[in-house]
Amino acid sequence: MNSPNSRALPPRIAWPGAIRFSLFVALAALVIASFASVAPSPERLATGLPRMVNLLGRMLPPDLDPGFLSRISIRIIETLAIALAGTVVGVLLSLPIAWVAARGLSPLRGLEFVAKGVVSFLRTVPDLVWALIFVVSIGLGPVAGTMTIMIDTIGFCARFFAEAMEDAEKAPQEALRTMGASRFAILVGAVIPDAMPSMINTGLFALEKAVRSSVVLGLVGAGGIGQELEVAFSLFQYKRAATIILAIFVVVVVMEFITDRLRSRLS
Amino acid sequence: MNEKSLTLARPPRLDSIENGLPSATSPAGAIAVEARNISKSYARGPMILSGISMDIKEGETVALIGANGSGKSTLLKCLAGVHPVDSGEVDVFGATITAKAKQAELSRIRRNIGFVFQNHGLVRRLSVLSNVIHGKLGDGGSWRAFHQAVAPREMREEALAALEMVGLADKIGAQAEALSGGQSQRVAIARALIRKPRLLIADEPAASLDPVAGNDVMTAFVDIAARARTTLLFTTHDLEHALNFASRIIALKSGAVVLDAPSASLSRASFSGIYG
Repeated sequence: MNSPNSRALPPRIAWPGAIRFSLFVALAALVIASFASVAPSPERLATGLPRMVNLLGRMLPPDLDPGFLSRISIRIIETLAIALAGTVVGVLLSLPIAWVAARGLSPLRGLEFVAKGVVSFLRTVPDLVWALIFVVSIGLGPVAGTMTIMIDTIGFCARFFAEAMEDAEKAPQEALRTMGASRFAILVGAVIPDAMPSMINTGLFALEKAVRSSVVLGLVGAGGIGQELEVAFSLFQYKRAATIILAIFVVVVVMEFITDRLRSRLS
Repeated sequence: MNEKSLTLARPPRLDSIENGLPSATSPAGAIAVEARNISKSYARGPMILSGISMDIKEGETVALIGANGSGKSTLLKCLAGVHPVDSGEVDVFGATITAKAKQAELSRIRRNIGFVFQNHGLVRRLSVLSNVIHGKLGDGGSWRAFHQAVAPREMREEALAALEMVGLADKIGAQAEALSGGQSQRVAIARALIRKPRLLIADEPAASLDPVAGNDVMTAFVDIAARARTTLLFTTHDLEHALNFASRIIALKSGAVVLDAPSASLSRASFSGIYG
């Protein structure tokens, strides 16, 4: 039988200790300071909003000149090509990197953290920075964009591929190991088949992300539709800019629709 | 449930099977596996096996029994060279496994062994055929065994023969995740059989199955091993399985052998002190 003390209800709220409370206060101070330094002031909003309305007015109606539409269609195809090529190469390169980074599966024991560190580095540097690096080193154009998407995809996919490999069911791996299978045989025979749905999901997210990224890469000269957008804004051709923004919107929505459908079919 | 209701009659052998997988054999009475004073513990833990010595002759069917934690599974894994022993030696068909055995040497020794796991260890998202072909992954030069689509024709035919032996040829294209527990265990047995093992080791092969499915799996298992003249060593908590299917029973208690006798000379009463 329980003693009277063991029936006592716990407090509704577990009060934090001194250290955790201090951290909460520091975090709250940081948020308030951030708002104070960068949030828009009412005066700036009052002057900025009418300007935005004016800009929107100058963007309408969008330019539907057939020659212009044909040119941006080619740029859209180029954008999709950058996204697709960069993603496919990035996904393929992510596989061996993820294998090296996966704890308990890596063929290079002790180097898992090095591989994870490299992947973290690739992921934390923003894609626009990679684009600038490739534009400077390779030159203006879509090749720099493809390289950027490839690096960005490796940073994204290698991490999630490694996690999916680590989470793969252990029993089949043990069975194959017992039979004397090599690490590579265990990877391709047991780990990848089990991790495949998660990896396909990640790959589709990477493609979706790549399409959005490849749209803006043109702003720094890395090819694609973004380059047209940059030119349109620079030349104050706001109606053309509106057409490009609408085209980007359609492309991104269609791509999200397709990847959503693929994901739900695969799951 | 009384004792009588636990007794399951051994069903007839699988006579419909024609295409048995041959196995390498040695003269009857030769030693298949020998453990000499082996001890084993896991990192800083208590001793799991304490100075076990035993041998199993070729062609024997041996049941290993004992309470949870008595060291049965660890002993199986040490005998198969999956876990290195802390001290002592294990001989498998004359090849000695020591604590310092190299991976290549262990792989060579393991080619003589088929191992069937309690949890079956199938890759659920692959087909039955791919899972059976996986049994060839440990063989030298068999990298194509990772998937049935790239496996050589002979390998696919061997897998079909193994599936015929366990009565599952009609499930060859099914996904492993769509199988029942009994079917999964039969596929795991087929995966072990495709290796043409001289020693078949099974860790509680019927543990996750209902009594009828468990009995069917054990019947198929023992029958196939007898037909292929394969030495069979299995662990079980089911004393009826041990008495009905094994020719010899070895009991472990706290990591030591406390009983080793022909099953014909034993009854349920013989095991009274083992689980206490």
